[in-house]
Amino acid sequence: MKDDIMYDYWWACMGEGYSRALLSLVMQAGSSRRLYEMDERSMAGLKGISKESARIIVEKRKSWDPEKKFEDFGKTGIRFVPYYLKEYPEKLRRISGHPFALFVKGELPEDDTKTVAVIGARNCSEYGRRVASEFGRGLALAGVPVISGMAYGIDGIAQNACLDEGGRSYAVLGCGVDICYPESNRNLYNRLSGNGGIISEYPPGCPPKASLFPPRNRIISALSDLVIVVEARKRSGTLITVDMALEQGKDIAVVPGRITDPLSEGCVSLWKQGAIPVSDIEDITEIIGKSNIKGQRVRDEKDHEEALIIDGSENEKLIFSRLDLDPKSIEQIRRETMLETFELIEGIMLLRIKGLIREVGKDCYVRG
Amino acid sequence: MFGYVLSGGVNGIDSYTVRVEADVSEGMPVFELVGYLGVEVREAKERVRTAIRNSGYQFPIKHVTINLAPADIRKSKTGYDLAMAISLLLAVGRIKTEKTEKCLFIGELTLNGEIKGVEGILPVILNAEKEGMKRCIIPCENIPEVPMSSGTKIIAVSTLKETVGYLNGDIEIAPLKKREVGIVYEKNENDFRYVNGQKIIRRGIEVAVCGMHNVLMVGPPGAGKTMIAKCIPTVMPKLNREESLEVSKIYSVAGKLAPGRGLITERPFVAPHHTITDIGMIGGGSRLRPGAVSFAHRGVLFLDEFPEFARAPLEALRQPLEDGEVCIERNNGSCIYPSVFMLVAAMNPCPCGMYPDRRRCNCSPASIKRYMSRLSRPLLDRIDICLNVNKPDFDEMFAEEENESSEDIRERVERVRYRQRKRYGDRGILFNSEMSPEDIKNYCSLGDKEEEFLKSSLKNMDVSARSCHKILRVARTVADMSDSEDITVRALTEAIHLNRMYDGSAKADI
Repeated sequence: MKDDIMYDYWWACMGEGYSRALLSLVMQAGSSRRLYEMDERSMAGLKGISKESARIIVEKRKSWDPEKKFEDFGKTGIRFVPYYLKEYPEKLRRISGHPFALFVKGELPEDDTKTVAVIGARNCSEYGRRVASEFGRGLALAGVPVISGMAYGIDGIAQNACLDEGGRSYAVLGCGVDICYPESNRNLYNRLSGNGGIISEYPPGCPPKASLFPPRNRIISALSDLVIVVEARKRSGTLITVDMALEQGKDIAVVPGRITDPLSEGCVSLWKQGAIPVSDIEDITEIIGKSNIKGQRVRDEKDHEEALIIDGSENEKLIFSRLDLDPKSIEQIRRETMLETFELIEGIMLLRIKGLIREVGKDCYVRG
Repeated sequence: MFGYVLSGGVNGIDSYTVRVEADVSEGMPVFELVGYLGVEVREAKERVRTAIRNSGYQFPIKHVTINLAPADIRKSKTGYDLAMAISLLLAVGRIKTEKTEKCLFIGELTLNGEIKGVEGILPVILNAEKEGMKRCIIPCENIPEVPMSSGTKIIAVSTLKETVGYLNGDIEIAPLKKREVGIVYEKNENDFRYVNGQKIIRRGIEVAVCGMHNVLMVGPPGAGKTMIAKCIPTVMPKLNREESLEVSKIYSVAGKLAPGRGLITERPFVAPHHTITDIGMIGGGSRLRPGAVSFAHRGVLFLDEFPEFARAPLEALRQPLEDGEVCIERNNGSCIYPSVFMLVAAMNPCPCGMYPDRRRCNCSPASIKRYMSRLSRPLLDRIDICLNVNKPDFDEMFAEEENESSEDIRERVERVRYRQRKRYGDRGILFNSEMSPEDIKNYCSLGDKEEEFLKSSLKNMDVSARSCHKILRVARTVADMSDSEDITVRALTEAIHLNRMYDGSAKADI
């Protein structure tokens, strides 16, 4: 059995594109070693593999030295976890069509820890950004790891916030774990491997492809006890994850948004279908049945803001009071405050330096 | 038998005197034209021959040679026709007069002896004036382009016959009077008076115009970027006579002086379409012409949809922005077109134009980044001020409140410009935006408090070090606007605000 793992590794590396079939083929053949020794005709005779696929696998096999390849792989520091190992997450093993094997950089989530997936739109609004980061931090303080896809927008924001607060977070990728996609999340990628893990069913070196992302969503939902949707458009990839989660019998929570916002359409319609609306971290811990927290308050951000703004000048207070999570241009702020141009510029600059407001786009500001 | 008269050729936007000589001698009846001539000049042979005949004179059945001196400069355009005909008639004795002494002829002939207008008359007349010519004979069609006052007598003619009659003293033609020339442009219909609200932009534009800082405007479609840009020339100081002549010369050589309009007295506003080529931008081409940067000389070059421009024309902007002129090298010499202009660029914040309003914009961070990456870094480095233009509020759009007019703003601008002229008197620059790092050291020294403030801002606001010079240039202008020699914290604050470039959502999205 122990020697067989190099054949399992070979088989997992064949997996790009027909990853779901990998496990069933091994079951039919008995072991991946048998598959390795099988000729093309009998492989094509198995259920769930086309003649063409069998031909390609046999072709690739010719130049594959299992022992050497596995030895080289050992040097990368990436862990290889086939389904039969004890480390393989129980939560994952329970779903039908679970991956044949996982590649892991860092750790896998522990089976007895409650975890939450925070997912949502890539092009999120400031509202989504704020909520995702609040939930990320709150979950970290509650000792609940955040699972997500390390994408632009909600995913990355929630995971970053969780790590900022010293929590653990796991990312499931739609490419090899040695590839950082999207590249702009490089910093998050580096932090994740030390404070959680990066997980994929695709072999190292596998480039990100659109078709690889929907299947990875089933892993995100399977590894979590609750899936929270922060912002989603009508037809969004996020909703694929929700479908998978429902199939797996997971709870779905949504963050309520305005019914007029396209970015809330997904959430609102899930809500109508029975998803649980959540507005703060207590709502979440209640659903997963984890009694709160290390005695810390999650929503201390408001207090922090209040403390800072009290020191500010009247103009600063006035400007700050006019801002929220919808970006406002400096001209709009001027209209609402009736401040002179210079007073306004000065006030905005001071607020920025204090970190109370942020610039999104040129001369457009939001809180936080 | 020999005769000669003078004419003028154009190189760049300046003119040089050409001596047109004709010789008629015994021998084979041929008509030779020499003097390094372009195709259109060589074709003058047929026009001159036929025009002379159709004007009632006999074309000599002799060996005719016409030479255009200096013979080592390439001649182009059709303005030599008239001078050729006159020199020939002089050589055969049809014209007997002293009037051709110090007299310059320019005009294109038609086959029936009429005289047509030519491009670039203005530099020719200015040159004639400079060279102390007594008379300048020009086509009637070109009358509107004649400058306001001229020491040289300008005689406008419409046919060859009329010209000969005038030279022989058979008819009198009065020189153009001053009142007939130099018609002033009508009032510019763009005015900041009609820009409602937008106070922040108005201030930003005023700073930019005062120091001639190049500007980038970012905002959603329909926010009024173009309207504001069109108003910019109206707050610049009025063109003085020299500037007006300079600008008119450029339009004259391109044949773009509008008929009946006279000299250009308004600051030009040039808005090339984003499909413009590099030659269209800086000039050149097989028929040498100035480009958009020269047409915008002393005015505004407005590039709407900035990221949509091709790379070549934008990169070509670098020399004119740096040197204030374009030098076009060709195998038969080079020519220089002036191009001192204020660059005003406008763009949407993202491909759809609605960012950062995520309710309406679904552009992915990657697509915004791609959109931004079309802008050339070196070009952005030459832009000191970046402004956000947002849709005006409806209440403000229809408010009855009287806005400040361009004229009022212009008065302030003139004062600040004067301050700069006085300061840079012998440095060979006119505006704060032209300060070299050396000048910045001399004229933008900061006090301890100010320096500390700038340093901490650079750190806190994530301002790049390369922006530092730009900030100081703008701060100098802001200080000048408040009549202060010292750059205060206040001036620095505003300069930092104005200088921050839009960089898409680079930092906003992780």
